Amino acid sequence: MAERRGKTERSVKGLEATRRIWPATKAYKIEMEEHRRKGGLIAWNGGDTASLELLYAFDILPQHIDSMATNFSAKQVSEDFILRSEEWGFPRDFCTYYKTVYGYLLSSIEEYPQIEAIAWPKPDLLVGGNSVCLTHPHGIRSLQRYFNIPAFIFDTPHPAYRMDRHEVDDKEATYVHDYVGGSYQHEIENQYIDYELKQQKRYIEFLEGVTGKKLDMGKLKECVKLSKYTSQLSIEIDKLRHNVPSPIGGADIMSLMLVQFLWAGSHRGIDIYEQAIKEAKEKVARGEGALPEEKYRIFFEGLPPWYSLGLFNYMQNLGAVSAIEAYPLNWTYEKLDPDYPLESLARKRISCLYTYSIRERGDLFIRRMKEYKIDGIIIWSDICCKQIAFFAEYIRERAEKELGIPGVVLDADQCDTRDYNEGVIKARIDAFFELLDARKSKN
Amino acid sequence: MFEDFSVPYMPSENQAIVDWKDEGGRVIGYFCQSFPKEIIYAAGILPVRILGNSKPIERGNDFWCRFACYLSRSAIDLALKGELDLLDGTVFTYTCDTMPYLTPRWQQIPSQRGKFWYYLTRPLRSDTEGARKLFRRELEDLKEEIEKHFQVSITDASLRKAIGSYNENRALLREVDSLKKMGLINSVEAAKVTFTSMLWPPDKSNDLLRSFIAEAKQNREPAPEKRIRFFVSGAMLHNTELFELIEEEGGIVIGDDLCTAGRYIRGSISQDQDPLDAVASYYLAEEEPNWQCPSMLTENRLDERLRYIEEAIANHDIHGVVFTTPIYCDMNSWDRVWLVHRLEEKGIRTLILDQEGYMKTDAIRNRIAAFIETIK
Repeated sequence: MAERRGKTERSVKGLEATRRIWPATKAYKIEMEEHRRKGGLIAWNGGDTASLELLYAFDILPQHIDSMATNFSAKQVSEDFILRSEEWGFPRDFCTYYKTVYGYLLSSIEEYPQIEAIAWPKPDLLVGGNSVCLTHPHGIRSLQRYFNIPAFIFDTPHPAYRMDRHEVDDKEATYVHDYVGGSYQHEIENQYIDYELKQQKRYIEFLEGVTGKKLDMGKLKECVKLSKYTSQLSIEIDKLRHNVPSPIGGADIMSLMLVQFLWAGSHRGIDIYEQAIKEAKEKVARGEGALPEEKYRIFFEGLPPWYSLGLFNYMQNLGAVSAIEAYPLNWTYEKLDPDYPLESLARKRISCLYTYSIRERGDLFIRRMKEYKIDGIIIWSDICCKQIAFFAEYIRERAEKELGIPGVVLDADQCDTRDYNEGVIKARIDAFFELLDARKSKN
Repeated sequence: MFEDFSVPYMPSENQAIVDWKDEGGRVIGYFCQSFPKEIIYAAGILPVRILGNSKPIERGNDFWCRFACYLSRSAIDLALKGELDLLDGTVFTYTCDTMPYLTPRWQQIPSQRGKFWYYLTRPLRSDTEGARKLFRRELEDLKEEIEKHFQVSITDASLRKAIGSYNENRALLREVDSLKKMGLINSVEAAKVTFTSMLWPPDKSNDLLRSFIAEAKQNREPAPEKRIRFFVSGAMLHNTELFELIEEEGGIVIGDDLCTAGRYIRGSISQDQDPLDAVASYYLAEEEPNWQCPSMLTENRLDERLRYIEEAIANHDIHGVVFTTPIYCDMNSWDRVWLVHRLEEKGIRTLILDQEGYMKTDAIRNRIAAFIETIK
């Protein structure tokens, strides 16, 4: 292995609730191990946004590929893992979430004692889908071959482009989205719902086969209800950030996201969200923000550098709070109807933020930038992630043209520190804030 | 005769396409082998494959994204430079995460703004219940949009005729491929003929192909079996540079699974059923999962791709497999990682060549030469 680089910065969390995420993460790992000892099953999920509820309904404990990779990255081991997976055959330009996880599989815990608390148990089954991107379901297929275990992969239609093809791209945005992901203004046409429902039926049969149990519909409804509640709390957290100053910054949100990302459909983490809301409301009542003095409100777009979430501290020290982000929205879907759990989950899967057309996604964030009184955009253009990298210039241009909001695109990776030059990144951020200063004083 | 196929791949320089336009015809560019070009041709419009080229990119990296595959950057670059002005529209399909983003960016290119565009979504599994039915519905919508925009009518009869033309084209190209395997022509010639067919009206292509095949059978002798025989696995090539390089170093490409070669010429669309249903079935490659686009998630697709490569190696005495994967092409990278492991476990020699534009560099030449040395 290559010599490890110096540790990158850790983030400082503003809420007590956020500080509970890391202990809860470690507790979940212990819970998973205990679950397995008792004969329970563990599933790894890649890119499917609506399979958690059914997994919890079958008493299967899930873990996400992204979640594991971000944990390893925060523990500063992703670079080693990435190199190991490249030795195994993965290309340099390939998704670093998967390379990190493959590196983990190809390494031993003895080599990396620092990750013992997050050495996730290996899966009994795999679930994947293309809601988020196409790398995920292929990654799950690859892991299926690696482990030789059962896998279910959803093929989710991406109909958005057909729906908005008649719009002219440089016309002022005409669509009105609800402000949080998973909210097409279009009615999703029946053929897509039908296609998803057919797969959902097979997914249930798959889970029944793996567990030897029949689906308990009452339990599924309860899981869907919990998932809906988690999303509603997430939306409430998001709404509180309308306030100036914003009571919650980006580093907190990137950690809090785990609850809806991994535990939607269970009780886990709900109390953390409730506490976050309580704390944020108290801050708002006191007129306090996440920062002592909020000078700039930022839209942070992209997968953050998980190995250096301290970058948010750096921005905060300059008086900048990240008031909105895109990535966490992807896991929020408040329109679930527990009385119609299967159709709800089908709609959730199709409504993922990353199945939006780029136009719709752009419209959504143009609207959010207005609502949240954003001063500038920092776009972390993840080299290995097409969903992020391709949106970078598009949204920067539109924000500048339509709202006069400037943006800076920073090319780096979310897990691979080889492309990260902290000095250069900070210098570009400094220059960007000087630009914002100049614009503010001009206005 | 073969010289007829040595034509530029750039639509603006390709005389057959220019003539088509001069005669009042319309042209639609399409990006992937997976796009059902028969529907375009049935409208009386010439479908032309957008291949990019291997010249240095001038403006595409900035306008688009330098972390995108070379094809998309090169195509954007060419469009920005006016090389694709003659297109009356461009169509895209869901073959990777790049195409959905390329679609709206393409419309921001001044010369393409306001022209016809269509993004064809499609199922990614042929083994999912309802996949063909859903895809057929998408094709119906595509057909209606073409009809509406260009004020034309696509009838079952015109679609059947277009299917017939392309079926014949694929059959003739497979015959060309057989000539190569027999040693009557080389792999560069076969590749050139195939590239040209992606650009020309199929009926013109078919006429020339028939003459070419007849002439080759009549006038050529099988080449002596001295060359190192390769299988090339990957996505698409922009031109024949890699094949030329391999031949210049003493090899020959006998088999492949490329989108611009084997995958392009495979199979036929059934003419015994509803034509749209038949097109849907063909482009989902239901019966031949080995030929499915690497973006597809069908359970046995990759196993079948491996089987096809292994059979080609066994049946055609192939000495090694060259993987040519475009940088930033995740779909092919997933396949490649697994295929290389499996082939090497079986003692089959492999060479990985990352693809990024121009292929005839010294670095690639040296690697091919060294690979050939190890095989000798």
